[in-house]
Amino acid sequence: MGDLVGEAGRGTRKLLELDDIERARARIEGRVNTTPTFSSSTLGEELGVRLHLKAELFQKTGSFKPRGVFNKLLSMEPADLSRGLVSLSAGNHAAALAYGAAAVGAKATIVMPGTAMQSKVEATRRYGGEVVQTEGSLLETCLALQQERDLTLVHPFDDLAIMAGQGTVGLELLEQVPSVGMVVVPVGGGGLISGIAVAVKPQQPSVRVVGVEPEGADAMSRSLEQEAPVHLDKVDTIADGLAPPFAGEHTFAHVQRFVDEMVRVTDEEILDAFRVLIQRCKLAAEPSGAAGLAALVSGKVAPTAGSNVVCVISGGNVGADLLKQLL
Amino acid sequence: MDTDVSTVLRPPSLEEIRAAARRVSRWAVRTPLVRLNVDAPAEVFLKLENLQPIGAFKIRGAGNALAQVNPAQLAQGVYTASAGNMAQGLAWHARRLGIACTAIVPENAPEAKLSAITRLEADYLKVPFDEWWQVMVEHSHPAFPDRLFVHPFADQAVMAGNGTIGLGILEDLTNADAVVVPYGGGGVSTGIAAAVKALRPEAKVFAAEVETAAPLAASLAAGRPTTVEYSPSFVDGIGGKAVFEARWPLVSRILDGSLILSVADTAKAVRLLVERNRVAAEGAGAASVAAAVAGLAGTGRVVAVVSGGNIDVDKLTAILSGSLP
Repeated sequence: MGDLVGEAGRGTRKLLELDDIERARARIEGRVNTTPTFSSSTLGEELGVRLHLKAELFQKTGSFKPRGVFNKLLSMEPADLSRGLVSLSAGNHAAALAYGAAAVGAKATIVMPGTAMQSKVEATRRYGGEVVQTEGSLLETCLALQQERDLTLVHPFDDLAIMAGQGTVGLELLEQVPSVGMVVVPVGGGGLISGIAVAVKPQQPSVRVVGVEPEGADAMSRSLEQEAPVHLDKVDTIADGLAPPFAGEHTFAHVQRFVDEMVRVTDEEILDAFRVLIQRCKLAAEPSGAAGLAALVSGKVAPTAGSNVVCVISGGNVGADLLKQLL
Repeated sequence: MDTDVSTVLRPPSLEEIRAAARRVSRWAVRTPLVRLNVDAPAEVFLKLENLQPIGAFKIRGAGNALAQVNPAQLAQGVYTASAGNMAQGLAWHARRLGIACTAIVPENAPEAKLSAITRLEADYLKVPFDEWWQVMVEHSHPAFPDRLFVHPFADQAVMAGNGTIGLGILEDLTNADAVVVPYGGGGVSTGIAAAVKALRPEAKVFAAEVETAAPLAASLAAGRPTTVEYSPSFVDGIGGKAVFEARWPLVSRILDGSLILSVADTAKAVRLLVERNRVAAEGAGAASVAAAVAGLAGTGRVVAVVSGGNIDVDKLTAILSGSLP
C-alpha cells in the first residue's frame, strides 16, 4: 500500500543501486529476451549523431514490461504469489503481468480503462489474464479488488522490484553501445527510466539520461518543477502507454536524483516519429514507443554532434487497425 | 569484377564469404535473428535484413563489390539495374564514397523505392521492363560507357557479400535445419546457400517465389532454364520471367528446391510480421516467412530471411485492411 499511495515521508525513500539491477538481470535471465540494439545510419546522419535503436518492441509481449514483472514475481513470497495478483494498466503492463503470472503458475487480474486499445485487452486475455474494464478510477477499482479478493498488488511502475527489472535495459545497452553519450527514454510512470538511470549512471556518469513525455501527460516533468510527485486531473495523448495521471513516489525520487533532463513532445511529433520508424527503420512501434525518437527528430533534445545516442523503442503493441489509421 | 553473359557463375567460397564479412562489418548492421511469435508447424526464426540502413540486405553485396575496385575506376561513377533495393544499396555506398550513381529501373518500380534513391543523392533512369531485363543480361547500358556496372546479383563479389547473411544465421542458430530465401535473381539465395552448405551441409536452403513470377520452380521441374508468364504484383522485389542461363547450373545444384507462395499468402505474412513481430517487410521479404509458416520448409528450426522492408505506405495500409494491394 505504501508503494501506491506514498504516505511515507519524502526524501527518505530508498534508492536502487547498480547491484539491484544486476541481481534482477540474473533473476529474470531466460524469462525475457536480450533485445537487439542496432544503428540507424541514414536517420542518424540527418540528426548529426550516431543513432542506435534499442528494440524493446522485440521483447516478449511486445514491450519492456516483462522485465519488471518477472523480477517482481520471482522475488515475491510464494504465499503472496499464490493468493493471486492484481494490477492496473493501459495495456502493456497488463499483458506482461498476465504472461508472467501464467509462466510462474499464478493468477492475474488487471484493471484496464474502458478506452484501452482492444488489441491490448485481447492480448492480456490471450495470455490468461482476467481483465476488468472500468470507466472510473483505475486505482480505486484496483484497490477495491485487492481488498475484496485478498490479492497481491503488482504496481505497474512505482515499485522497486519492477523498476530494477526495467533497469536491465540499461545494462544491455551499455554492453551493446559502450561509447554511448546519451540515452533517450519514453516516460509514463517513470519505471523504465528510473531503472535505466540506475544501471547507467554509476558505470558511466557522463552519459546523459533524457526522459520524454507527451505534452498531454506530463506528470513527471511537472513533478520535477514542483519538486514533488503530482497527480494530473486529466491526460490527453495518443501515447496510451505514457498516460498514467501521476508520477510514482519511488520513480519521482529516482528521476529527480539520476535523470539529466525531461522533455515534452506533442502528439504530432510523436506521430511523425512513429511514421519515421515504420517507413525508414521498418519498426512498427506503438506511439508511446516512438516518443523518444520524437524528441530527437523534433530537435527538442540536442545531443552532442557525432556522439552515440541510444533511443529506447519501448513497445510495439499498436494493432493493425490503429496502425493503418496513423499511417 | 564483371561476369559476362557466357560465364557460368560459381558459388563463393567460404574464404571469400569470410573476407566479405570483414569488409561488410564496417557498415552493415549485424541484423538480429528473432523468433516469429506465431504457432506454426515449424519453429520459425526471422533474419531481419529489413533493419539494414537502406531497409534491405543489398548493402552487403554492393559494399563488398565496391571495396575491391580501384579508386580511379570508382571515380568514374557506378550504375546498376535494379527495381530498387540494389539501387539503394549502391547509392548508399556511392554517397559514402562521394561518387556518382544511377539506377536503371523498370517502369513499374514503386514510388517508395524511387524516392529512397533520390534521398540517397543518386538518380534513376526508367526504362520498359524488357529493356531493363536486357541490361541485366548484358551487364551494361549504352548510356554509361565509362561507369562501373554493378550487377544486382550475377557478380561473385555481390554473392559473397550476400553470403555473409548465411554466416550470421549460423552464428546465432548453429543447429538450423532449413533456411528460406526470397528468390529474385538468385544472388542472395546462392550466396546464403554457399555459406550454409559449407558450414552445415545437412541444412536445407530453399528459394521462395510468388506464383505470379516463379521461373525457378518451373525450371527445376523442367530440368532446364524455363521462361514463364510474369505478371506484376505488389511483390515487386522478386520474380522474373526466366532464370538466367549463367545462374542455372549453380542454383539447380546448390538449392534444395523452390517453394511457391500465392500473392495473398504473402500479403498475410506482411500483416503477420507487423502484428506479431512489429516489423515492416516488403512482399519479397515476407514470401520466405509465408513459406516457413505454411510448413513448406519442413517442421524443424526454419530461418526465413526477411530480405527487405521497403513497402509503399498505401500498400501496407491496404494489407492491414485485409485487402490485396
